[in-house]
Amino acid sequence: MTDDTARSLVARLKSGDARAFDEVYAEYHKRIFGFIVRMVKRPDVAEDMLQETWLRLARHAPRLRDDTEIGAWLFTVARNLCRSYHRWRVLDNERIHELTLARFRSSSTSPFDSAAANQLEQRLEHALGKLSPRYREVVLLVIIERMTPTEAAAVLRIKPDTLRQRLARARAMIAGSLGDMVERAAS
Amino acid sequence: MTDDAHSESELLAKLAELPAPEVPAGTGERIHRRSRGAFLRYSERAKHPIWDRLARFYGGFEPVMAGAVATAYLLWAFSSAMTLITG
Repeated sequence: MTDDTARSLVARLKSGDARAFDEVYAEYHKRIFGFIVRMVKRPDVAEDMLQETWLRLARHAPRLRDDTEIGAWLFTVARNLCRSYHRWRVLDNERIHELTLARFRSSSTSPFDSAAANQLEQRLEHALGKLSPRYREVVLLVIIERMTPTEAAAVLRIKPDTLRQRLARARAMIAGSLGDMVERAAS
Repeated sequence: MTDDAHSESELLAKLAELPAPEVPAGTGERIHRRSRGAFLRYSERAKHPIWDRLARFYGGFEPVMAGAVATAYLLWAFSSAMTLITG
């Protein structure tokens, strides 16, 4: 999306143009859902958060700044909702993951069945799921959403250098999780 | 090492290509419908800032309710003033 298109989209949202809202929804709702479900690991919670993210856009649209980058804005809202969830959740992370995987394994039409179509994808999803939220969010934004380190750092409200450090650690952790699949230079 | 070993960079490239989990059938449409309705309501409200301000002042009442409460206050203030003046 060019800068002009993005600015015009924000202007249309501010003026209450429903078609602009439809365009933003079509562009981002699947990506936001993917981000949330991989962060919280529970599709039911992710659905609620997806709805809350879009309701917040509906509420704040008239007051958006002209230079708002709408994608970054949406990911920031979704990420803040995930943070609140991680703070308040009662169940232990690993248990949720196991419950989620068990649920997905038992259903032939689950999102993860279609998302993890082969063993490599399943192992990558698992390695991603094993990362703590602070590292997982960096991988999701930079590697999967292909944001620049500067954009991702703005969403996460951290310095770009901090983001780069976290990204390097996250990549090392993923490689560690996939140990037997990774060709080592020394081997 | 397994037969299907990959370099670290290959694996990270595969990670970037992981398909996004699908939004459950019907959920995307339901959320779109609800949030679109809310978007239209808030946008309409924003075109009438006085009602919006009143609604916020009165703790998130709907504009009509906020207007009714404001009118009731004005009537009460007017009748109190008249009582004081006329004794």
